[in-house]
Amino acid sequence: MGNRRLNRRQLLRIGTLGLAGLGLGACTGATATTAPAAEAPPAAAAEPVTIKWAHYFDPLQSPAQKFNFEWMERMASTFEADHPEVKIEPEYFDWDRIDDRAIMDFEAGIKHDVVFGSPQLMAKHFEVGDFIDLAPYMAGWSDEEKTDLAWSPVWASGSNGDVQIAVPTGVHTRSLAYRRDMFEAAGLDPDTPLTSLDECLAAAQALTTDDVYGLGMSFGPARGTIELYFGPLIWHFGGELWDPEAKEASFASEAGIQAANFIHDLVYTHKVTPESAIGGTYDDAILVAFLEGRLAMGWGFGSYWIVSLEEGGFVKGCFPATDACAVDTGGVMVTPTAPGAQFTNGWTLSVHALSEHPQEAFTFMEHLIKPDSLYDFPDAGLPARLSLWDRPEFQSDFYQTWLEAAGKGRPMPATVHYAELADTAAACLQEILVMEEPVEDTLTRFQDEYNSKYAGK
Amino acid sequence: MPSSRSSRKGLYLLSRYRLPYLLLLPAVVVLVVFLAWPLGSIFYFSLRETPLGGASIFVGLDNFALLLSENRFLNNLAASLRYLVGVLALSVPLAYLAAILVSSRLRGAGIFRTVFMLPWIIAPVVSSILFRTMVDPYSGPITAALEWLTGEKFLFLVKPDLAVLSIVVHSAWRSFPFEMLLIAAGLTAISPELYDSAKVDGAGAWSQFRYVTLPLTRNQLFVAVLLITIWTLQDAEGVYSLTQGGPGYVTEVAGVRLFKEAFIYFNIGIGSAIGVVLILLSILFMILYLRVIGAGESQ
Amino acid sequence: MRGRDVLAWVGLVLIAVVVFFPIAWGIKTSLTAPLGTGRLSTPLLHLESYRYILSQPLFVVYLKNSLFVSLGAIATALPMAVMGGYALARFDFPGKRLSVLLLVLPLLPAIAVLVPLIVYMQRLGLYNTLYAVILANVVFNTPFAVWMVRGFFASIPYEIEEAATMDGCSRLGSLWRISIPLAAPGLIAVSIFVFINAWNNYLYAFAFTTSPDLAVLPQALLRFLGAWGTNYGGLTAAATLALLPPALFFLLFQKWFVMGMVAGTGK
Repeated sequence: MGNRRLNRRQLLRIGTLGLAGLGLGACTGATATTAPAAEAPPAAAAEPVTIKWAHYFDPLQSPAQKFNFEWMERMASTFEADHPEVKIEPEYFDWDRIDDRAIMDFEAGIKHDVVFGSPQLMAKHFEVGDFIDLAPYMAGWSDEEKTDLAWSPVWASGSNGDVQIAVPTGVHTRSLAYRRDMFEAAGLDPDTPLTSLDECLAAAQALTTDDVYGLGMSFGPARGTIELYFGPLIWHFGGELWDPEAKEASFASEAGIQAANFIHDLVYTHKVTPESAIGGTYDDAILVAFLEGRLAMGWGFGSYWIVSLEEGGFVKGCFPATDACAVDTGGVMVTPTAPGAQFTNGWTLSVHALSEHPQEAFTFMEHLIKPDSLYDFPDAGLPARLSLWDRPEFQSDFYQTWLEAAGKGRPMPATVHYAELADTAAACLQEILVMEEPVEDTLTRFQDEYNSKYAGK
Repeated sequence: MPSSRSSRKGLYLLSRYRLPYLLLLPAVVVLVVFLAWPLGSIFYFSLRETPLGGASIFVGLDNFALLLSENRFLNNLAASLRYLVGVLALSVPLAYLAAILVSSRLRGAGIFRTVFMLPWIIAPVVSSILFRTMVDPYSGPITAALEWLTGEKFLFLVKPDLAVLSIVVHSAWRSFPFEMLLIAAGLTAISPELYDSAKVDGAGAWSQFRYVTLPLTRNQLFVAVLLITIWTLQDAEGVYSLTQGGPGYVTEVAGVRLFKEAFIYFNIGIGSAIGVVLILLSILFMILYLRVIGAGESQ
Repeated sequence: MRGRDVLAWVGLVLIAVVVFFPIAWGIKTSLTAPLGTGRLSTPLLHLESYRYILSQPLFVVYLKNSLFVSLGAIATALPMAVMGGYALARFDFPGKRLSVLLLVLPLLPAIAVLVPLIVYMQRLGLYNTLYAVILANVVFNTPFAVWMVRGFFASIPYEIEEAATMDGCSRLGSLWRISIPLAAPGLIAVSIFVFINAWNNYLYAFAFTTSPDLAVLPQALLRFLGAWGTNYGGLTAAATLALLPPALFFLLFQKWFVMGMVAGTGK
């Protein structure tokens, strides 16, 4: 029995730990309760209005984020200098949860002001009503101002008739990145763009060696599988992922079968695309593989990765863009799919429906999308304003290729259940690839399961 | 029974047993309000459809009918069973072996008992990511070792069998320490004389295990298997951060499906219906195990 | 006998390798991966990732949140477990058989209950506070904790308490002065159980909080897998640091934890 009793020293040790816990508890408890207090409307009229700015730049994630933070700080301080009555307070959300949080917090009554958002989820925002209609606030805008921003599909995602709930801050589009040196080694001309899938396949076969895959794609369990690969190929073959008239999934079409077969053959028949692309992440399959020289061509290479091309020495003087921008051992070409068979999106800005100061929030938003503000927004990918493209540093072939790619893009289907649609189609493609199931039956089975739940929505 | 009499009886019980009731009160209140009540709500929500930003409507058993008509959901259940059987088959023998070894009279064996608890102390999301990087086709040490040994590239998160193996090994790795601890607790309670008398009777190592060790650790084994069964059945974060349910729906166990429906798609009705099925499955396993152990006791 | 010992040692070492390998891989990555989202490891050891993590004020906030939640869960669950466990071990009363429910309830899938719990937390005004996270951890850990403590009290001979009662202690007095100190290893075991479960839990904080400054460590760790690729160095360094408190806690008190598990589950 005796050994079970704690001696004094042991008890002391436990006690100290407990006290330490209480002390910590007390101070964290205090910070936890200050959050709701900050939300309360200002008590005195003299106090400034606080505008919360929900962003997705994780302060912990990586030191490379410092460019985004420097931009944010500059935006906030320049705005506060012009509007002393307003105080900007950034709040961070995970990049892939920021739209969901805006929706859930709207339902829970938690207030936000200016919020970054994704075009793919605008249909859901329209349905829930967590973003306000910006049209009345934009009444004073000139037509020029509107068309300057409305040229990309990002703007269209935020529109429904006369209602506009989001404005673009940048353009994320994708192209076919390729290794010019590998093209030359394989006897291909790096200056002649590939213009059809057949040409692309032939080049991929010529480029594939023991160590290098000719054509990189990504079919992992992520939305990118649909947005950058399966979706655009279905569009290329004349089909649709989702039928906007009937409001139901339609990927099990002739075009869907052709797209799935094309992908299957790339991996298993021609062996120009690595099988590992089915399980990995998009970054690993495209960006990392391209930078490490394991790919001769990377399909779905994002405009947000131009910085990596520069750092990897594939292009020179292109990030930040200069008028001396030139390609070196690598370059980009417009993805050789049919016109319109390509996905373009970008981060948007909206005003949360629970904002108590929508006018101030909108004024701050206007500040953020001024040409000079957007010009050096590090995560813009490409300029959201068409007028910015006239600047000399965007006249190089490299940037003009990106502009062409962006103009060719279209948004994802405007369904409330976009997330379910994309995940269903991605899982379907994976089953076709790894389980060697009959293509048509599998597509139909997945489509029917989706439609049995979400048809008409 | 007239109500006044029963209430009088209630008051009598309350005054007579005031102390134990009072002592139990806080735990009971917390559990009724935050566990029993939500458990009831889950049945309620499973019979309704709750659209985002709208009022919910009663839909009867539609959610269940929809789920049972799906290939996907039947696959979710099959994936859960496969996962469960795999984890138990791998972790229980390992835990038993580890328990016997750390409880042995070897000098220093006790230190291993502490070391072996490490997987239990690590957060599931962290160990999942570690496992994922270990089987990365280009930079993972396990894939590199296998490639060196066999000359083949093992695509763990692509090939269906290997993906299942990945989630099973990960979960077994996390589960075995707790099982070991419980079994070792039972082993230390066995008096050495029992083994001595078994040896006198001429029992070999296997017979000693079969007729002394196993029966006397049966209760601990039961608790271990029951706990791990339930934890494995409801596991979502471990599998989700390792495979997200892929490739296809191969590793989409019921817990992962529930997580996706409730927290990514906000389909509260379907999510709740899956929750109800998971609860019923858990109860089924509890009854099954109780029967097995009951049958063992009456032998 | 010699050969058997060797075999036993081989077994122990083999299991230790299996246990240690993923952890060693994580620590190695934290020391060799470049800081940032690159993938290629360098052969050189460096502490950049640790320096970066520790220089981030937010990491300290997450650490504090995790400590607040875990210690708060102990502070709430332990008294309830002591009272409930004592009542079950020392008293006979009508309805005692219902206490089997305590064993069954925590076994039901927590993830199924989260959705309605979110609604309750909103109504109670607890949504988006760390108190909601503490409460969820208490709810899902208390039943097992009560059961463990009950086993502990049951293993203490009743005569000791009786003697104390005769010496003039009240029933509660003898609980406080005699039984609790005797059951201390069991209480430590329960505390470690609650602490580790709460420390590692991702789902409750994910479900009940939305403000970024209320995140706990498992959530923070997942953030290294970001929109700009994965920062493996930062992730593994943060994970290694996050492993220290529970590992220390466990190492300090593991002897009692093992004793507590023996007594708590033996009956």
